[in-house]
Amino acid sequence: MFSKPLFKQSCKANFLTWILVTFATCFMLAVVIVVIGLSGASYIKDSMVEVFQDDAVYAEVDKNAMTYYYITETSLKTYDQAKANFDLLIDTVTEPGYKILTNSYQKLIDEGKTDDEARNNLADQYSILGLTREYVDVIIDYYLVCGDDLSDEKVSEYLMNRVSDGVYEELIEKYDKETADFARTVMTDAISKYFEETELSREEFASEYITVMLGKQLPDVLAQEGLEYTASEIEDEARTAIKDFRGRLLIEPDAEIDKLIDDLSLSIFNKFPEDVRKALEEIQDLDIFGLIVGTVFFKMAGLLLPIVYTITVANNLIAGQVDSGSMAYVLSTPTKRTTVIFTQMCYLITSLFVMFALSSVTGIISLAALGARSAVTISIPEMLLLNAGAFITMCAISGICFLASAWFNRSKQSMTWGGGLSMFFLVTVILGLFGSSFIPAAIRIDSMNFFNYVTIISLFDSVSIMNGTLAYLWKFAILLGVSIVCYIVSVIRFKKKDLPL
Amino acid sequence: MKNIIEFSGVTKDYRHGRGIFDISLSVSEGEMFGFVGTNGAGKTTTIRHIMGFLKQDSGTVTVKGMDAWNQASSIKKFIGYVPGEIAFPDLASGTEFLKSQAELSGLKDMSRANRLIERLQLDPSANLRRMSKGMKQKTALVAALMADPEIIILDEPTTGLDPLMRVAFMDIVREEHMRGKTVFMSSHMFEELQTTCDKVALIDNGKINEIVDMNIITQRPDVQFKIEFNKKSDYRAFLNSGYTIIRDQPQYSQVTITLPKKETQKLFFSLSDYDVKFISEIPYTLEKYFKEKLINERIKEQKYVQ
Repeated sequence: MFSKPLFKQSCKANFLTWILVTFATCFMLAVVIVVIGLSGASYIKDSMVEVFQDDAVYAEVDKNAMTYYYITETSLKTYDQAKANFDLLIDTVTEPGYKILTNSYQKLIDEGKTDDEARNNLADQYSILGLTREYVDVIIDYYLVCGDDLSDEKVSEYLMNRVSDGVYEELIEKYDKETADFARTVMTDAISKYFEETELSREEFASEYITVMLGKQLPDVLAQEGLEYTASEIEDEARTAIKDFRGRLLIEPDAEIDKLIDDLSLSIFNKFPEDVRKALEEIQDLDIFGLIVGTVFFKMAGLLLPIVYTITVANNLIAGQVDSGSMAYVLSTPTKRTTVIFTQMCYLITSLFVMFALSSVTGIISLAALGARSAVTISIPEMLLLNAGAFITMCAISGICFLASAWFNRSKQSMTWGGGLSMFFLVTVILGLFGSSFIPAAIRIDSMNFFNYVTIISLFDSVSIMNGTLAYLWKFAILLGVSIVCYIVSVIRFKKKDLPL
Repeated sequence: MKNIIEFSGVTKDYRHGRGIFDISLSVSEGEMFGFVGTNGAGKTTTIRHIMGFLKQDSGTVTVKGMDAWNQASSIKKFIGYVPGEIAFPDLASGTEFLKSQAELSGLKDMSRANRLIERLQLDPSANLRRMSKGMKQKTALVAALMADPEIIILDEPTTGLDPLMRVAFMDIVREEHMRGKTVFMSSHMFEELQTTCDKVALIDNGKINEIVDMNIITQRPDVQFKIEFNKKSDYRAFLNSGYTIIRDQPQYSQVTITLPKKETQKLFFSLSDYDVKFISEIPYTLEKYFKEKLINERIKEQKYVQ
């Protein structure tokens, strides 16, 4: 079945072509891996990522600033009103009156009355003085917390806590406990500071307070996500956002606050329509290394030379020798035709195998030389699988070329069919690339996906290999099937045909 | 004598009148068989059947009793082949080619190859692609003969060689024949076959026209002479002396006569009485034989048509 001298003869005859193609392919692979792995080949993508990241961060800052500003401003307003009301009430009731009222309440409780009964009783008792149940509630509530102390500080502190609690209750419905707790502390702090404030208006104070607070807190939070922003950057953004928000509130005082905030804090990104946003997201998520090394190299650029090698060598192995007549010398020795074709087939497959084995070694060395980098997205096992895939693809293509070579007696015909089909497959896979689903929608031409259905190179699913799915396995099986069928038919045809030697 | 190569009723129809039709011939052991015909007559097609390169549409081809198609590889153990078109495999030098051929045929002893190389004054280390036609032919002959095969098949081996080379080449082939090898050789030159072959077949338009034993040609009972006389009177006298005249050219005083071989002596004796300018024997050639044969046939065909 196998003839060593013929194998040796084929090796010698095609060695130069083989070594040139192997060297060039390995060299190209190393260059592609190193260049794409090292350089900022993706700087446009990087700057896009940066722009959208800024955009997203600032949108978040805006939203926080406006929300907190609004809460703070409202709380301060509530506090101001409550303080004015309370002061007015105490002025009316007077301090001695307050003491009488509270003592009466205490007595009623001691007598065994419930809180509610006691309050009703008091309201009835002093209704002549214009003291309604509401006023009683305000006084008694204060009394239960602060006792007889009616100093300004105490009152302020009391009201401050009431306002903060109100904020807390409001927020715990809308958000989670953590946010509500945080808001309460912020409010308490804000009001106590506001208490000492003399110069700024309520709005200005709230704006400044929130700006400074965000400037202090957000840089640390963002740093945890690996984003670097300075306090002044955040402050500038927050201040502008609050200014805009206040301006809008002046123009439309009745605006729905939540909607207004969402509106103003909408990022540039989110202003785009859905499909454009998706396209931009795809570009951000694009794995340049995987695309160039895994697909453009292994399925196109890197296959070009091996395909040219296969076309010429497959033709030289059979049809070329029949056409020139040199096959007569082999066949005038007691070498069977089956032995001849089987040996030539072994040569073709072995030479391609060694070629991709060397390419694997080159790939692994190049990856190892690059070390761990964020740009390098192909692991060593994936590199081996990609080479295996390229080899299996070449098995199928070489099968077709070999069949053409075994089928025809003329080099011209063998080259036309074998070479023509192989080149057609290569060109269509390149055209099909522009319509492939892994190409970002922004630069994809969907109708060109048609080309992916007419080339067998599509069955080399490099994307599946790099994504770690197993879809590539059954496609490999088809490629292997094609090559086995082609080689078997070649043997049968060559055994039976007339040779013009 | 055992038949080494045998064709019986072999037809390979390439259509449009091309191919070979109902070829039957046999070559016995130790015989040198010539195969002559014009270009495209079917010589190479016939040889390709012996080599098992082509499969006949009908009939059988056997070599040493084995089927030439089904047992092609076994037959090759006995065959040395020099193809008509010399194109070598893609190897660097003649030496490399010969070595590769030896390996393919399982030959280990290269002494015979070396003797042949010396004999042919061949430089086998030369680049295969830059060899002249003669060198290529010599290299191919060494490759065919180095395993000392029983059967030697040559497809127009001397075409394109200069006359000296042709002689040297044919000398070696003839030597092999003397050593008892069976030789099957095609050519489009009658003289070449006439001097070397035991039997010659004429193929025309894919059909065997005639197979001639060379003895018939070389050992004919009759001889022909052309005689020219100095004097017209002598010429006229000779015309009436009773010899069979086959051509008469009175303007030159020339006659061509035919007579049984054994009467040659008598002719020379009687010519001593005449003033003879020159006398020459017209040799009977294979070419002449086939020409006569073809002319007769054409005449017969015409009669048949009429």
